[in-house]
Amino acid sequence: MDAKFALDAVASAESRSAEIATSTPWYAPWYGVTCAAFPVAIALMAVRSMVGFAILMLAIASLGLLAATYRRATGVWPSGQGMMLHFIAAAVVLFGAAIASYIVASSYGVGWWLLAVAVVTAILMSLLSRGYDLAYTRKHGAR
Amino acid sequence: MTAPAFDETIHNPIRLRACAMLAGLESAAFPVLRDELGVSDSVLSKHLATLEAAGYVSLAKATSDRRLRTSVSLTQTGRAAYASHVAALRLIVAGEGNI
Repeated sequence: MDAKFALDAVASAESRSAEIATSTPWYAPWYGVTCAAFPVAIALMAVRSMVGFAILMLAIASLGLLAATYRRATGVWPSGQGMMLHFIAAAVVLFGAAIASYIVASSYGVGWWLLAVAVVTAILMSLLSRGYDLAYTRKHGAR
Repeated sequence: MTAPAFDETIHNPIRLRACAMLAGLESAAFPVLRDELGVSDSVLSKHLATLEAAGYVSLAKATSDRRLRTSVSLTQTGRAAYASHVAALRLIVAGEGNI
């Protein structure tokens, strides 16, 4: 096989692979809403509410279901190689929201502020997920 | 930086495209590869067996919904060989090497 033709085939297959891996528009909002449940659960557990534990279990189950649904829908699992910055950013947002919620709830109790934290966390995590898709496509899909 | 190394095992058109599909993935389901490459089950199996014998891919079988599902991954050796092969192709296209 001619080298130029082979390189074109490589670029096309890599691009198609990235397209399949990022072909789930429902992933980012589902992921964002699920992640938002973590600071809510932590805040509620800080005020000794059993609802917090139930929400935590639901969020963990939702993450598992999200991964299984993604794998079933696409048939692939993307590689995380070279995406460390995105994982760190997601961890900072999620742990930051959870720790802040715990501290505020422990000091002042639970209030409407928790809804704001949940909405902001959901939006940020959805955007980070979408950003991950775009970076993944840039890294693996276009050469 | 990846050292260019032309690899006859990978250079076959189907195996090259299979490796390219798998390069950005942790794993892919067998039917996804088959459909994307436009080949039959038996043809894909044969090519994957060649790549597996070279240590370039690993196959994992799992039962789900009472069906046996096979997923395919590039091994670290396979990733390195693929990257070296693509580097060699680039060198050839740039006019600095020959097949």
